[in-house]
Amino acid sequence: MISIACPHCQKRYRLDDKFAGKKAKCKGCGQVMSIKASPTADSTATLPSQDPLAANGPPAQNQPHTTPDDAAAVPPAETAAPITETTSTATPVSAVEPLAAGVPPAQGAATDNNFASVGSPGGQPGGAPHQPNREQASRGEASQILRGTTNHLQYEISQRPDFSIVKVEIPQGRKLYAEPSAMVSMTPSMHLEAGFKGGIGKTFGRLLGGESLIINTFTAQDGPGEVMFAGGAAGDVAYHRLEGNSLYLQRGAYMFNSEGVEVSGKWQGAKGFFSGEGLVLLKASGTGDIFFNSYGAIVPIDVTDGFIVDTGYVVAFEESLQYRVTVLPGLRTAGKIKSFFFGGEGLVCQFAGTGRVWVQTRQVKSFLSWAHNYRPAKSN
Amino acid sequence: MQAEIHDRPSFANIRVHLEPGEEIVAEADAMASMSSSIEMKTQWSGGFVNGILKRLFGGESMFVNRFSTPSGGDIVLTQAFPGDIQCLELNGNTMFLQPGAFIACESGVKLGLGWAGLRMFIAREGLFRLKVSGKGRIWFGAYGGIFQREIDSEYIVDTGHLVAYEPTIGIRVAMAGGLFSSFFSGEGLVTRVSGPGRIYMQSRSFDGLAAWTNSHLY
Repeated sequence: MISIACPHCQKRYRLDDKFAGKKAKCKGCGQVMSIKASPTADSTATLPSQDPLAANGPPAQNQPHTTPDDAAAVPPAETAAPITETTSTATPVSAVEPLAAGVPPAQGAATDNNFASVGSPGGQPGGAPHQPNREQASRGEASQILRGTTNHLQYEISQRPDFSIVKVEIPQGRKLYAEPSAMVSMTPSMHLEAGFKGGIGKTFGRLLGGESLIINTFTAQDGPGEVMFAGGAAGDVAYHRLEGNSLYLQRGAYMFNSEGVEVSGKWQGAKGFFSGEGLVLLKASGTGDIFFNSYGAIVPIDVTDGFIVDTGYVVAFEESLQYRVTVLPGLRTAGKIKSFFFGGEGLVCQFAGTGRVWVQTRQVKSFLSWAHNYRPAKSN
Repeated sequence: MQAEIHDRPSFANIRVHLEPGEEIVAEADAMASMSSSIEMKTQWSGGFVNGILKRLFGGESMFVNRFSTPSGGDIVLTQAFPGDIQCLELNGNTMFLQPGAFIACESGVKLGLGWAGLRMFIAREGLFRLKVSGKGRIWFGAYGGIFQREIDSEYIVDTGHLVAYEPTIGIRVAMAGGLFSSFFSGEGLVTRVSGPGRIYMQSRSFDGLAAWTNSHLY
């Protein structure tokens, strides 16, 4: 048995020995990987064990993961065509090489686990491999610190998952675009300008997407700069690298992005209309980095076939997924009346295809209705 | 006196073990539980006038509770909001705390009230700031996580994120950007801190929480 992990999305596979040296297409992200003879699963065991406190965190976020570096350390077997290994820098691996004829697909995928077994919520095709900071972990920090370097910026997400805060460093002349009020602190070298970005269409699109009309532009004018961003609610921050593809963000999830990313509202048509407040989406596309936040911890899930998420728990998902808003299958039999009495809680987002969904572990609506009981009764 | 901060960062609390003769002074609301062997005495925080001023302008309670014990006992201290608690050892130096941050201190610490300036008032940081000095440990809390930062030259912090700072830190209230940007960026006024010195920041702010909650209420 060979245990391998996709160097791009960390999806695990267990394969028969006869596939050694062959290449396969990852079911999760579609990238081609080479199957190495020696099992890489062992390398996960060498990771320092987490602080016991970490067990309180979201399970998917705290699992040690096989980094692409570990996989790369294994001597590569002979392959028909060399494939690009993800390096420790963020140089995007953009070219998806066509499968050579005769390469067996990774049929033996034994992992039924849909949960992405990565320590980072941002392991995506061609993105930066995010090393959880091992020093921090061994020092007994309750939460992992996510660090990474991309073409545009350097980031560090700390105090996860409850009070996540992002520190971003950008070289001189670079820009960051952020939602209003997200800034916590910055160096004086940063210049802040508020404005309507992207013209009238995009501006109002953002309004539909539940975001502000205003986008703040941070420019590192006088030398390299550093900005810290945090959300308003208690929750986590996730990172995603866009490589020409698109990402849909739930209302309020957007935090900030680097240059090269366009954020616009997308009219969902009937889909968005009937879901009420449940699913109003922002679309981020282009090539660059995007950060989004949640209420509660974030669990990244790699969807391969079908997956159902309550609309209130969706944080973001990749465009490669088809989705439709529907009534929870169990409620459907009783007709629309029942779902009406459920107050929209039966509305779920049904995903199909392959791609990643980020799910939050708390729902805003539930929190507000819980908190509402304790508010003085003066509402209409 | 043994004191440990537990359950960080979300629901941090201080567990103190008092021996006979030892004392801890805590914010009026801070005591969550204690052994029956512990005696509590309520007193004006830093004197009558200071106490009143603190209540009016400092965002603190006008009373503090002094805990002591004849036979030894335990006491648990907390704060009102979810967040981290930080312990600082004062050795004759001074520290400024933002209103509401103070939780407890050892009896050797002097609690004073410092004039923060009208500018800080405009920035909604309170007209006064709590000045802690003397010898001993103090505990202060924050909404969100606490992290510190060494300031060499200058640094910009959004109002509401500053928790504590050393007296060597200079504070100036400024606009976040130009007139338009400051008004529409949602950042409004920021504090420009200048060093050298250390500041403590919190990773969430009450304004941020309020804005987030309001944006989801229709």
